[in-house]
Amino acid sequence: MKPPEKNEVKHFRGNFSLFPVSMAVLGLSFLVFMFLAPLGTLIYSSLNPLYADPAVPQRLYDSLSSGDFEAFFAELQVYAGNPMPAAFQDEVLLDALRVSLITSGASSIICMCFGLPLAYVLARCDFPGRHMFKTLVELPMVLPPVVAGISLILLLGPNTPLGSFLEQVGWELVFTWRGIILAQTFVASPFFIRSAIMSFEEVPVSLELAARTLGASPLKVFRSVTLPLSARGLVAGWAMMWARAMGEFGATIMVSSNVPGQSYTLTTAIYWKFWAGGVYPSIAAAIMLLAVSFAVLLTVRFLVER
Amino acid sequence: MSLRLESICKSYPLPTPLSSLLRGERRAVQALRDVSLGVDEGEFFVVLGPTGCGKTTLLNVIAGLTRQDNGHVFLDGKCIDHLPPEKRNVSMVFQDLALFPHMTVLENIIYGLKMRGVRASEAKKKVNEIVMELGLEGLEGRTPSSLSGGEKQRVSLARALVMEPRVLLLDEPLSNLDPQSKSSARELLLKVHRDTGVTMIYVTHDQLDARVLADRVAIMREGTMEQVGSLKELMEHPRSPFVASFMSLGNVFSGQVELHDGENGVTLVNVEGYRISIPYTPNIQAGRTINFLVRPEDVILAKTKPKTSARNVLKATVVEKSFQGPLVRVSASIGGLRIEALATRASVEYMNIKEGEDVYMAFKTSSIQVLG
Repeated sequence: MKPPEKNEVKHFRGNFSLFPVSMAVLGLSFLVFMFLAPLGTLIYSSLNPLYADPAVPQRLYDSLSSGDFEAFFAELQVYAGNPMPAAFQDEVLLDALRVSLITSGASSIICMCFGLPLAYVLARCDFPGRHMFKTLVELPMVLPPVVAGISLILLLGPNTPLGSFLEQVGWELVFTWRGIILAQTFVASPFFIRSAIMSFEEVPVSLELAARTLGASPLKVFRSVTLPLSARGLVAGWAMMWARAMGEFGATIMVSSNVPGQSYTLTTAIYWKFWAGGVYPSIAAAIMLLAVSFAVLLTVRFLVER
Repeated sequence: MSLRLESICKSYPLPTPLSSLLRGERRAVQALRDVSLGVDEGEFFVVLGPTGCGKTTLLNVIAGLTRQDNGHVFLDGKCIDHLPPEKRNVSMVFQDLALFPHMTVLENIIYGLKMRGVRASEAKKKVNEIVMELGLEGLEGRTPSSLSGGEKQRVSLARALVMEPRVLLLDEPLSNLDPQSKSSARELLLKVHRDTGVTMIYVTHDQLDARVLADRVAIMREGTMEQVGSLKELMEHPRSPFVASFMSLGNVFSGQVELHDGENGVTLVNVEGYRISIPYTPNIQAGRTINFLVRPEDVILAKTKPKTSARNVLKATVVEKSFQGPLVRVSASIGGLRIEALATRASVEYMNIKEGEDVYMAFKTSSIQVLG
């Protein structure tokens, strides 16, 4: 007869599976190192200037020892305390936030008006080249946004036929806020269209046909059957699209004129601040962008889950 | 005549390689080939055929969900080709039932009336009537996902019936039910048909549905109507080997005419090397291939060579015995030929017929039906 302890060990081994544990360990460590660590550091450094710029004490000491009190106090004023309250009084940053919200809002509305029908057509109609078009609308997701910027400038830039016509009409697109909307729509709309195509494809065609035989016109079928059943995916995709437009940088910087309050978005603000003064001055704008995007995605997730 | 189809054709394009497209070739599958059909007012019409024979396409054409390439659909004598599905007043019960998952049972049933713009009070009254008729009381507030298969099927039927359609189309509505629910669903369909008198076109691949439900049956095969008639006509006079085998009427044999003697009224057919005497059929020549039906109930089984007037006696080996209610179906094979016979359980036991043993199978010439 075997000793009971041995049996117990065996029993434990039988129930213990390495699989869920290893999945959890791998997944959570990815979450921590890839997402939480960089973003956490960003937030931490906004609270602690010494972390963002270790040379602060040295510079303070230098200006003090050289007797340049003006520089010393200026430096001290910049780094003293939390940069966030100051950022919310920074007119340039607030303007950039306003421009970002308006342009991304506009591009998400444009995407809704035109991307939704496009997604419906690609999901429901069978025509030659359909799969090519489906791939085409996904292309901006993998294309470097800079390429989008170049394409838009080549199409609508001041020296192009279309661009000079628009200039005559007084409706220049490139190097204005309108150009930003265009760039954001180009880069971000695939997020919505892709998700919308998948949502529409998940609605069984027989439901739509049944509604037709029950006396509903195609428009009524869309409103009463297709739309409610794909709403989740549409809203989720729309939020992703909006957040992507909000964070769009590469194409935006190429087609914007960077005039504060006009075509100076939060993302370009981060870039210019970084260019002018290093990491520290750009933290406030980065935090702003992070907070707004996170809040929107979280709200939408709550709405969709409910 | 309530519904009439006139030489309907419909083909679907198939994925065609670009090289063929450039040569101007298009691949297509012909779902309906010149189908003409008439269904009488208040008739329970069953379309029977194997999967992929074009049954669903036929219903879609009638409902207006698919536009036919050729031909016309007439409802009460009026051509309805140009009408969209929502204006045809033809309801359909779909194979997957197609209940709206985001609506309650009540909302599902009332949907059509709402779309038609019926006043709320009147709609409510109609829905209540249909809910009573189909025994759906108490389920009104439930969602489709919480219903059993039979309940879903009834809700789908209620949703179609509440529209008081000119024609009700049913696309294999029982295919997802277990056998018991199936038989009660069939009874319900018959009751509904009796009570409402609505013209029904019911599509199925299950010949039992046709046997229980149909006033008239159409057998469909590869987009054409193989035979249309009452159940009795189809059972007694199948027009083709396909109809006979699809209705499981019995042994369908195919062979070459060896001897065709008009004077003595004898026709002999060679089936897989065995000579079988069939009733004299005028207008055929020796050498022609001919199909004929031998019903299993007409085959006499015997352990020893029977003394019978039957001209056809074959000695075959029993390969299978299967119990079918009070009867036993005995399958026996000889060479490449397989013959089935029906016998009572008592006689099979009495004769002690076992699998692997030889039996004599005899059938009269007069019991054979030539299928052409």
